Amino acid sequence: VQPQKPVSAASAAKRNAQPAKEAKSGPTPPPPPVLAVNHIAKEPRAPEQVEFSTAGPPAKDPVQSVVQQVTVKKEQSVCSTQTCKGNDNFCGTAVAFLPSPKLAEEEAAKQHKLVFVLHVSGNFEDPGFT
Amino acid sequence: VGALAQKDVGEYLNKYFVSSYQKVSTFTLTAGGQKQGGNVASYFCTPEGRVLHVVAGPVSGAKLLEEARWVEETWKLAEMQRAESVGQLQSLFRAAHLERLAKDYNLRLSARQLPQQESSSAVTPIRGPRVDALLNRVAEPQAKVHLLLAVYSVPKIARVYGTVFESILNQAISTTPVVQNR
Repeated sequence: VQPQKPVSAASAAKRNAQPAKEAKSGPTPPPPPVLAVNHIAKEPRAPEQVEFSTAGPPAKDPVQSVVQQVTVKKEQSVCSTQTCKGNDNFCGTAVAFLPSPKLAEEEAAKQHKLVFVLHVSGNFEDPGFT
Repeated sequence: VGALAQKDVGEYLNKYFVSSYQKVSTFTLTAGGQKQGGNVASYFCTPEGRVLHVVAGPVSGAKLLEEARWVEETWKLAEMQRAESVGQLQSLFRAAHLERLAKDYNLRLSARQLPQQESSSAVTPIRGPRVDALLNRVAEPQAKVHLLLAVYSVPKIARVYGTVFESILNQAISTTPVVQNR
C-alpha cells in the first residue's frame, strides 16, 4: 500500500484559488466576434474547417462530429473564456493543456489538483488531425 | 473535443484539473477529407496517474462537465474521509462506481460480489478474456467504464488505456501517424 500525501486545509484553499492568468485580459474584454475573427485569421487551416463544418448532413463518424463541433464553436465565438487568446496551449479549446501527461501529473501534485488526460486518435494540436 | 471549447467546461477543468493529451491511436483521412476511424477517451486521474474515472467517446459539454464534477466531488469526499492510501481510495471509488452503475444503468452489484481489490503495486495490463467477459455484461460504453473501474478500482492509467480504447471504444491502439490518402 502506497501512502498518499495528506491534504491540508491550506492546500484545499490553494486548489480553489482562481488562476492568475485570467487577469491578463484587461478590464474591458473585446467583443466575441472580433476575437473569433482574429483567432481564425491566425490559423491557416481555418477556411478548410469552415467549409468542412457546413457541408452536408451530420456525420456518423464520432470523430468527424467532434471536429464539426469545434469548428462551429469557432465560428460562433472562439475562446469565449478569453484565456486562450494567442495561447497555443489551448489547442483551440477553452482548456489549458500541458504538452505531456507526465508534466501534468507533476504540476497537479504541486497545485494539489487532479489530472485530466485526453487520449485521442491523431494529433491533438492540429484540429484537422484529431 | 468540441465539448472542451465550452466556456463553463474550460473554466471548471482549469480550476480543478491540470490537463494534457496523448495520441494513442490513429485514423485515415481520405482524399475527400472524410475521416475513417478515430475516437477519444477522457481520463480523470490522481497526480500519481491513477484513474478515478473515464469518459468513453465524444460527449457533450454538459455531460463532460457533469462527469468532471462527479470526479471532483467524489475526490473531495475522499479527502474529507482522509482516504490517503491507495487501498482506501480503491474502496471509496469502487463504491462510487457501483452507485453509478445502479443509478444510471440499473445494474445492482455489491462490493462483496466483486473480487478482492488488486495490490496497489500491480502493473500488468487489465485485459484479456476475463476482462472482456466482464465488460460484456453491460452494453453501453459508459456502463462498461463504471464496471471496469468498480472491479479494478483506481488503476494506473497504463494498465487500462488499452482496454478502454480497444475493448470499450473498439478502436485499435496504434502509434502510426494519421494516414492521408491523396
